[in-house]
Parts: sequence; structure tokens; C-alpha cells
Amino acid sequence: MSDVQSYPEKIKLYLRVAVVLAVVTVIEVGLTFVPHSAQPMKTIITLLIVALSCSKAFFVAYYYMHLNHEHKWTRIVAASPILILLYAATLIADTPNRPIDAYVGEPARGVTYPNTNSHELHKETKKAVNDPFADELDAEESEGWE
Amino acid sequence: MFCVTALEREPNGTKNKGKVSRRQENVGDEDEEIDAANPARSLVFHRSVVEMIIEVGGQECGRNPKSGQHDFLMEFPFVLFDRPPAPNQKDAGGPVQYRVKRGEEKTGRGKTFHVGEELDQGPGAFKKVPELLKIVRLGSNLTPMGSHTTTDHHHDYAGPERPRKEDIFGPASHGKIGMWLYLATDAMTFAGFLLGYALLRARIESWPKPSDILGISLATIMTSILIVSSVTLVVAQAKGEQKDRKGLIKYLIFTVIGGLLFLGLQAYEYNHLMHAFGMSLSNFTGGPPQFASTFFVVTGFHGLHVLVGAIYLMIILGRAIAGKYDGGNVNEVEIAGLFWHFVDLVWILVFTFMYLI
Repeated sequence: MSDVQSYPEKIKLYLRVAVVLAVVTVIEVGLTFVPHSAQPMKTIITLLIVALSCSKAFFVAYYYMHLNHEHKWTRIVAASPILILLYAATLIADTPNRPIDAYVGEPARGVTYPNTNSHELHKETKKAVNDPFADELDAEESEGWE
Repeated sequence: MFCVTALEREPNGTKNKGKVSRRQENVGDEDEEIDAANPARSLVFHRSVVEMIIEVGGQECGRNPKSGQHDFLMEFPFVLFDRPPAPNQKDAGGPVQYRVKRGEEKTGRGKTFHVGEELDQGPGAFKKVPELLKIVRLGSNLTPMGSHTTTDHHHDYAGPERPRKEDIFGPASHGKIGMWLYLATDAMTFAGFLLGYALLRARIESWPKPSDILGISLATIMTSILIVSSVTLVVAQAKGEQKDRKGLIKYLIFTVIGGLLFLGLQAYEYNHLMHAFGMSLSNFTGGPPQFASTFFVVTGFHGLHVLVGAIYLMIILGRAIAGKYDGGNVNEVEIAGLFWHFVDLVWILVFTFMYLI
């Protein structure tokens, strides 16, 4: 932690970091042009891009937001949002337990999109999980909506 | 010779307990150097000291150039250091002894004070220091030792009531700590959005490849603009620290322009996407509507931050033009900078998650 840093040193450091950020950005964008539709490659490229962008974020926080000059607790506060990864991990681990219709809602009126008829799917999922109201839902629909 | 003014609080158990009074002492003779090894030259305070001001040649000295606060100054030729409480002292809080000495390096309150070898050399040199050193040390009792007391007035003083917490945040100003706390919560909000996006995308198989819909090249330009604006802002801050008002203003203007340019490009991008793919918060002709909703929510929330940041920086710019930062105290610029860099940092991640992968 060098508290005493002369003006030219600072500018030099800032420009160096800027060059690093630029180079990493170019690499990231370049990586998207590498063909990666097949599976092992896809994961590798994706992880690589994510890792690179996290390093960029770190560079910005550490040098431009001056965390290199801050003391312990300021850094801890700054890093605290990383805890959201715990939440993310929980949700990801739980993903297979959630029915798909939790994600696929009703299409807007007049809009169709190719792969799913979510409405049908919704009913089917409800039945599949032995939802006691699934039949009621059918009945409601036939009565109320038509 | 230097003069120390201390605001002292009467201890408990005395008649005027809690009352703060001012005491002024001259230490050393006109041309005499201060020798800390000689206790007779050290200052002695019997009561709890609220605040201490050191004056040299009639001028107060030492303002912390970094935080702009009156605090311990790191490059001051004097050393002020604490001594551990003597075992026979029973005063609450423990007696703390301050001695003033030159040419040494000691730690106190977790900080190291670097002291110039010669009094008249270096930026913080003793005889040249025009700035002000106000040593704030709350709630400590100072032990008795011999001293030169030439004047001794007592005034009423409505000083700060509560002792200051120890500096677990180091040199960070209160405003800065506040901004960091806010940014932490804001980062959580963004993280929540990105997480929602990730979970939706993971489960919807027809999710299109973002690069087929969104323009990567435009987004790369937008990323570059934000990164460059971050660079110009740190340069602006460095210029401000150099008391270079013109440089500060110039680079702040560059930064604001960068922010506005980003917003313009984003408006252009939105417009294009709305027309080309019928994208709105709920509609999308190229695939599941969640693609459009998540895109607009995340980038829109970010764009709002850019807008707020640009306005924030314009206010800072106005203050810079008014000469508010001429003294080299750019704490406000730095705090605004934290917000701006955060916006840049978030965009780096948004760019990755929503455009690249």
C-alpha cells in the first residue's frame, strides 16, 4: 500500500490499467468469434470470457476505485456483494426442482414464439405434479374464457 | 517554538464534569528545538483531550492533504505517539501520553508517521508548513509530565460529545464509506437481476444467441467509451489533487461527454432493437419474450445509473468550476468517481453476460 504516489506515477498507472482493460476487452470480443457451438468448447469459451471480465471488474475496482489505497474494512465492504454467489449457487443447485412453467409465462397477445405453447405446458405441469386444482383450472378456462 | 491548543473535557467525579475547556500552551522557546527525550519539553494533559491544534509561528499547521480532514498527518515532521497506559494509572480509558518529537518514525492509531529527516526539507517541512494540523484524539486521558505553560485560559466550548471510533476504515472519509456501502447494496441489486436473467436463460431452450440479435460491435464501442470515461475521471481527480483546476474541469467534461455519448448510443440501440425485433419489455419476435424483458430491465437499470452518474458528475463539474476543489481536496470528486467507476464495472459484467456469452 503505497500512500505516497507522485502525480506522474499515478497517471502512468492509470494508463497502464487502461491498456490492460482494452487488451482484455479485445480478447473477449475476439473469443466470441471463435466457433464454439459444440459442447466442450462452448463451456471453455464461456468460462474464459467470464473470468476475463471478472478480472477487468477487479482492475477497475482495485485501481480506479482506489481500493489499493483503502484499509481492510473498506475493502471488505467493497467485496461484500460477492456473497451473492452463495445465493446464486443455491438457486442453481435448485434449478432442476423447479417446473419449467415457472419460467415460461404467457406470451403477449398477438405474439407467438416458436417452441412452446406455454399455456398447454402450464396445465400439463400442474397435472404432472398432482396439483389438485389443475382440473379446476381447466374448468375455469372453459367456462370463463370462452 | 510551537503552540498547542487543546480542548479538554473535565473528567467524571469533578465539579464541572463533561465540560469542555480550552487550554493553550507554548512549548519551546523561539529558536529552541524540541527534544522529546527531555520530559520537560513534552506536553502534559491531565484531562480528557477532545481536540488538539498545533500552531507553528502563529500558523496552524497540518491538514491531511488526502482526506482534507484535520487529522493526524502522515508526513509531518513531528511524531505524536501514544504510550501504553502505565499500570498504576486508574483513569478510565487508560492514560495516553503524547509527546512531540521530530526526526522519528512511530506508529499511533495503527498509522505510521513518516517524518522528514530535516525540519526544513520536504513537502511537509516544519518551517514551511502553511497548513493546519488539528490532532483529533477523543476520549483519551493524557498523563501528567512536566511542561512549559505560559498561558492557560479556559473557555466554554460545545465540542463533539462522543468519542470517535477507531479508524477501521483507515483513511476513508465518511462520505466515501457511505458511498461504498451504497455501492455494495447496488451491486446486490444488479446481481439479482443478472441472476434472474441467468436462471431464465438456463431453462428456456429457445433462447437465442445474443450476438445474433444484439450488435456486439456497438456494445464494444459503448464499453470502450465507459472505460475511457473512467480513465478520464481518475486523471481528473489526479489533476485536482495537483490543484490544477483547468485540468480537473477539462477531464471532468470529457467524462461527462463519455457518459452522454454512452446514453445516446444506448438510445440508438434500443430504437433499433424495437424496430428490428419488435422488442419491448414484454414482446419479442425473435424468440422468447424473456430475452427482451431481461435485456431491457438489466441494460435499462444500468442506463439509469449512467444518467444519474452523468448528472452527478455535472454537479461536481459545476463545483469544480466554482473553485470548490482549488485547495486540492478532491474528496467529493473521488466519491462521485466511485459511483462512476462502479457503473463502468457493472457494464463490463453486463456486456459479458448479456452480449458476449
